[in-house]
Amino acid sequence: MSSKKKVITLRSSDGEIFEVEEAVALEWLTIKPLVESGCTDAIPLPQVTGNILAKVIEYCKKHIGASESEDRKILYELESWDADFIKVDQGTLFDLIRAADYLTIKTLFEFTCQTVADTIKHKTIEEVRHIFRESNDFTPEEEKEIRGKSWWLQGL
Amino acid sequence: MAAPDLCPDVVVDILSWLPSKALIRASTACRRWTSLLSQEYFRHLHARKFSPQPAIVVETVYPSEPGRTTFVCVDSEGSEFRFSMEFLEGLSLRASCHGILCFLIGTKFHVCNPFTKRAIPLPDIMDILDNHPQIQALRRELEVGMVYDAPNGTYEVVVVGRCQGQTPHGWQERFVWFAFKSGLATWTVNFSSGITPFPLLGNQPGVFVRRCCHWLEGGRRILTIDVTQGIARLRNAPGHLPKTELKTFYLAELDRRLSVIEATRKIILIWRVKIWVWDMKRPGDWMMIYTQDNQQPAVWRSLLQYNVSFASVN
Repeated sequence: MSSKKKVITLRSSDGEIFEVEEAVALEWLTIKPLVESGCTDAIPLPQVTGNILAKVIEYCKKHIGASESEDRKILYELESWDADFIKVDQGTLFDLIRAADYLTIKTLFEFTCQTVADTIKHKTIEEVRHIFRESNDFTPEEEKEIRGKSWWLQGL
Repeated sequence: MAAPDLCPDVVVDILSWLPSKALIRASTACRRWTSLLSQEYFRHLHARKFSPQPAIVVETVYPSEPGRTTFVCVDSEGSEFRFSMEFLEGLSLRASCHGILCFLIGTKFHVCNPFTKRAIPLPDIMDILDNHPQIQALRRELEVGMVYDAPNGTYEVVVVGRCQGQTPHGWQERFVWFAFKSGLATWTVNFSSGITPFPLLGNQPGVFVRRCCHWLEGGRRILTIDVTQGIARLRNAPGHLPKTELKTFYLAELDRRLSVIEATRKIILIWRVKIWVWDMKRPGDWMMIYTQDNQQPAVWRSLLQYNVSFASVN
């Protein structure tokens, strides 16, 4: 092989073709074995749409190498880049979580989960239920009982 | 757009980033979430991200429900939570840490997780007392302290009592200190030497903080016994007035620091509660951390009888 960086081809659920550097693809644990085996065909990703895959690649390209940096300036810059990156609608945010979970990208998964937690932190339980499409299936008595118990979750 | 069909692992990860107060709210969302959040795996995940909130656990009987013991937790954010322990009979709550409780049932101490309702009996301390040549006439009042290390799931229970013990100067009253570490088969026994005379404090419980036991004397002074070194000392309590009908003081452990709770009755059913902690960075200083009007007089009144703490371990 030449010294030119190896490129991996990916195909999204809607048929879009993306090319990423091998180093980026190796961070995605789900497809890592395929990449390592030297697969040259386009890797199909039937659970990720093109626009989400574009975002995922954007994030990973930015983060590769930079996350481990100890240079404060770089980390600070990365933090503000992340803040801009995650300014997306709720649907996109959950799609990113699903994609990060599916592709097993630890950094993106943690970052997106934490972002959702931050947004629901100050919301009422009704708002939280609405966001997650969960419905209250407790009887009023059970709800009272569970309120008393649930405190114990925090440190046991 | 909302988020349908997130798999349980994803929900668990998102919720594990929530601070405790938001988590309490979230756990009441639906049955699925309650069950997800009660799993051991979730607790480990959450404990890795957040250290538990310091809080105080109080055993109380509400006037509306006589004969039924309820436990109330007041955390440092000022939230109150109630729960009952009816699955264990004849228990008396003696200590708590990180939500793990230490009960005395008969002469046996039990360590209990009230959420999973699992109770582990510790070896009977009376077996040791009966067979130890250096102990005679152990007083019934035993002071109990407990430390629980949440991330590792290990605990330590410490029991302090007064007994007649054999010293180089003959038989004397002194302190005996028992310690039990999780994973070990038995208690270790230690004696302090030369603590005399000892003020009469009545039947009030001592509060254990950092291996020192503390008693409140008349609401004005605090007696501290370092059980490892056998040193006793007195210091002034915060606040200005002595205990009166309208004002009571209690000792507690908060975040591994000794704290004093002052409850003043303002009008009927309304108590003003102030909490100070002993500031270890500035020795000799009490630092006020909480002041708020509270409508639960039963909670604060019962602190006098069951002064139980909930502390975080670093």
